[in-house]
Amino acid sequence: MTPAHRARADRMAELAEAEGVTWQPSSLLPGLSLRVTNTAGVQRTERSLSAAWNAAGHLDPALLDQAWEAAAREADVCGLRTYAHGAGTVHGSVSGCQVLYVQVADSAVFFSTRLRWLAETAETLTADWQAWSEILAFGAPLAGRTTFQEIHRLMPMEYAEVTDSGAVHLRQHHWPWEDYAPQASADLAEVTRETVEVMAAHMRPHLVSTGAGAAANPMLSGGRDSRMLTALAARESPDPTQLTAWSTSSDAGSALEELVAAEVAETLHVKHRIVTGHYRAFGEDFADYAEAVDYQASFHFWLMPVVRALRETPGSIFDGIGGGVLLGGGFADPADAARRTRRDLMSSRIQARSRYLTEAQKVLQHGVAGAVADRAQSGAWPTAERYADHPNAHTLTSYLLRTVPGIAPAPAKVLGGAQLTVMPMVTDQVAGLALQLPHHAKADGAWYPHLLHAADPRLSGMPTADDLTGTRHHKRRIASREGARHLAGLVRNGPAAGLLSAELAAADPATGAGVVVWQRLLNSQRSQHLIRGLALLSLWLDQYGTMVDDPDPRRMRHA
Amino acid sequence: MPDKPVDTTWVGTRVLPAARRLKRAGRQLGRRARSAVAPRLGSLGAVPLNVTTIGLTAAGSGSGQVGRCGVVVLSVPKDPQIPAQWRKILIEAEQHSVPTVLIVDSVQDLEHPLAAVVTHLMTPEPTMLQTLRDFAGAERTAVLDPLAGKREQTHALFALTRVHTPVEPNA
Repeated sequence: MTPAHRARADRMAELAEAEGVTWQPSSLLPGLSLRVTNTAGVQRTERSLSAAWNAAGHLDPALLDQAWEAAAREADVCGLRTYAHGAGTVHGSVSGCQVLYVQVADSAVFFSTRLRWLAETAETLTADWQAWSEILAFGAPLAGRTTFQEIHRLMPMEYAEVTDSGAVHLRQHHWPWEDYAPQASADLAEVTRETVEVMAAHMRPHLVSTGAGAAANPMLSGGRDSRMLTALAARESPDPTQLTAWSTSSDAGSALEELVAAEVAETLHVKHRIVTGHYRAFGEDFADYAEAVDYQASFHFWLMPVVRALRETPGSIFDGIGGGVLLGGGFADPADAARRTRRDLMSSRIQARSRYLTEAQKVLQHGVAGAVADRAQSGAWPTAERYADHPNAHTLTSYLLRTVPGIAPAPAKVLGGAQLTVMPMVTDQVAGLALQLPHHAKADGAWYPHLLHAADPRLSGMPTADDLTGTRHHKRRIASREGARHLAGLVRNGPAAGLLSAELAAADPATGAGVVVWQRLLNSQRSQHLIRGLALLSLWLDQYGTMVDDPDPRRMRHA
Repeated sequence: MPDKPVDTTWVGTRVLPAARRLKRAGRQLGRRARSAVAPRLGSLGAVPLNVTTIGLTAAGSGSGQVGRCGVVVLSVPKDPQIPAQWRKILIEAEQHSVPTVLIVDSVQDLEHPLAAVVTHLMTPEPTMLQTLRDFAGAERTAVLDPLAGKREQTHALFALTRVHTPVEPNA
């Protein structure tokens, strides 16, 4: 490391402190200091320092006795191994859901859980229009890309290494989930029991040994994964009265999620709170979410009201990310897959995750829509190709195109910014068990009745919100006049206006007829997704437009 | 974190949504016609209306009553949670796309979980309207004149809940 590198690291630490981060006493080696928060595990020997962290905290100190590859796999941690002479490794987690950004410099690697601290201290920043095309198409950049060409997010088992000679490499260690393949001989009852017990064991330390006593906060929607975790929290807690299950509206046009969640909470005798967003605060929620995920994903802006309440409510949060893709069997190839060509299947796996683009012509200029579609396909192709012949091809492709880049920032960064956040369904053990079950045992949610019964028999047969949904007749907050005017204003008054379709460019949201045009498109999932992406781009340009080279979003057209 | 698989087939992306839209439109048309001829209002709790309503928790109020209502009107109960019997009726209303209107008297009423799950909110107090709009937006909220006759109150309830995305007057 050079003096300039040290100065940059100090500036990054100052930015973190300005956001309220407090450091534990420094760990020192000759020529090296490590500042960590109280949720990281640290181990120091005479000539080396090791650290590990994840959104859940409460790490076993013995974890750092192992090689980083084993620690990342066992506890889904990111971490650092470094030596007094300057060599070292910064690594990602086995699930890839723990968020860590790196910037590789000459003979150094800068890393941060917050992209802002890297961006604001970087010498140069270049907008990555491929990443922005992927945000529009998929909801987040793929393959570790970020909105800056210079900064990378570590994917599962990726690491950045500084060697003894000062050379810097960014590489991926073997990802063990690639080794898990369906086993015809798998015993469903035994795998079910083991899966539930593994999740319970993972949650248990967060229910008994936290500073918050037995208090904990399972997130509870109207679906199956969250009720399974709520039931396990109630089962494992020494004092279930200290649990609070939290529900919010995902702004999907129905209140069934909240109502069904209330039924589940009552069945499990768990306290339940419903927190939804106020219409006046729509813009604030959208901007706060964008900031919390460093402008890298556009999905879960509606989380912010419940996140603010959780900041005031001690206790670990339990989140069921990964359940749908690993346990639910819903991200699978179509029934006629056997008759399709390899290339056709790869394309269909990509298109299933970028389905929003079928409405692109309504939101984006013709040339932009085509270029975004081309970029989406080319950006996702290496991932689809890598797993094209894998027995869990669609599952792994979906996981890497959607769950890791787009969904994970919500629990890891947004909920994780409120309280320690545990994600039991993306542990290596659960993934191993789930990926070894034959597809037919999971298809269309076939495994859930077994899992739910094993978690708590009272959940057997309880319908989900999706089971009950007929039509979605509620006004979505995002499609209200207030929401539409806010988003239309963001997009139309910034550089992203140049990407809009003729219809949206002409629709003045200040007029009654104009705002209805925006409202109708926001009321449809696909066009709404694209408008959210453009609004996120507008906020990012507000924040970084003067710091990046060539901030003109029309560059997206040049695929 | 919700991460649901979505049907990406042609049937799932085109036919089923179109069928759902048709079904919703059909229900709305049916409700509009019925409400013009013989409006039926369901209620949960002691609602301060001059209109006669069908008490949906009353003994003998069987299953199926909710689907025949044009609107279900609610007041905030004493229980800080949504009563179990009300919850089942609200789920039924959701399934049949029946609008649900909470009558709000005070800011505290907005903290009740019912305020988070109904489709619309009305207040008898004009000075509360801006608070309601901040909470649920202009399209989901209105004043309900407590002194109006039953015809006017019925009209006000149906006017608020009839159109999903009305064109804003005087914008």
